[in-house]
Amino acid sequence: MGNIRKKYSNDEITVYWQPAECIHSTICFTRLASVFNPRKRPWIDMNGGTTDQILKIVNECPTNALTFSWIENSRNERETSSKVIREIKPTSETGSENVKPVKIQVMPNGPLLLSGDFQLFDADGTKLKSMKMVSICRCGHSQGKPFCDGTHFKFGFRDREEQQP
Amino acid sequence: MTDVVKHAAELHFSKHGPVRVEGKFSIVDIEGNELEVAETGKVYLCTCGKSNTKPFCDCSHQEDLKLRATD
Repeated sequence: MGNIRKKYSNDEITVYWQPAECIHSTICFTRLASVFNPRKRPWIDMNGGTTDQILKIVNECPTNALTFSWIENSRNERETSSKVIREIKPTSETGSENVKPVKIQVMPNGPLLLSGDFQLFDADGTKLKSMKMVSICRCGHSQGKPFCDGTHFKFGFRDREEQQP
Repeated sequence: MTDVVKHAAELHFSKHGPVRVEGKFSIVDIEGNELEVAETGKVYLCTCGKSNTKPFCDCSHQEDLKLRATD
């Protein structure tokens, strides 16, 4: 969990939040609750304030829990704030610039929905047939693992204990 | 020349444990937040349904394995 970074964007900037870095200084939500509201989901609303207001708070955050980058990449080069995240140069392998990231959607109380250019391997390392979109069982009960067969409904699979069906 | 095709991401399943995801990918959680995986580009996603840190694996599947040790 320690390396997870969440992203929130408006037209100009992307704000990153790294939960593991947060020391709960409360600066963000006490100074700009219209954007940073831990009671709401998502807890950062990029439409709740101007880019300047948001950047001010990101820069005041005492840790790297909040960082940012400009959408327009050239501005990142010029940016003097220590909070700016400059794009890590992709390596020549899977990270080459034109490669679109595979999208993994976690469906509420359901499977993982994969789309994009991916390859599946079974436990023996054997390649499974290639596909562009597939649902992966997340409840542990599918009869057709690793794929979802809808069994999660029958078992009442929940992401969280308190969730209603 | 059969194995040179590179995919954006690879998913490696295991017998009773999580699926290891490597490469270039994004994860959208149940609340619609995009989770970014910083630098390592590798995560283990729960496929047994028991993790308390879903969608990530927290090794809860091992409890199950202990019960099934005599299978």
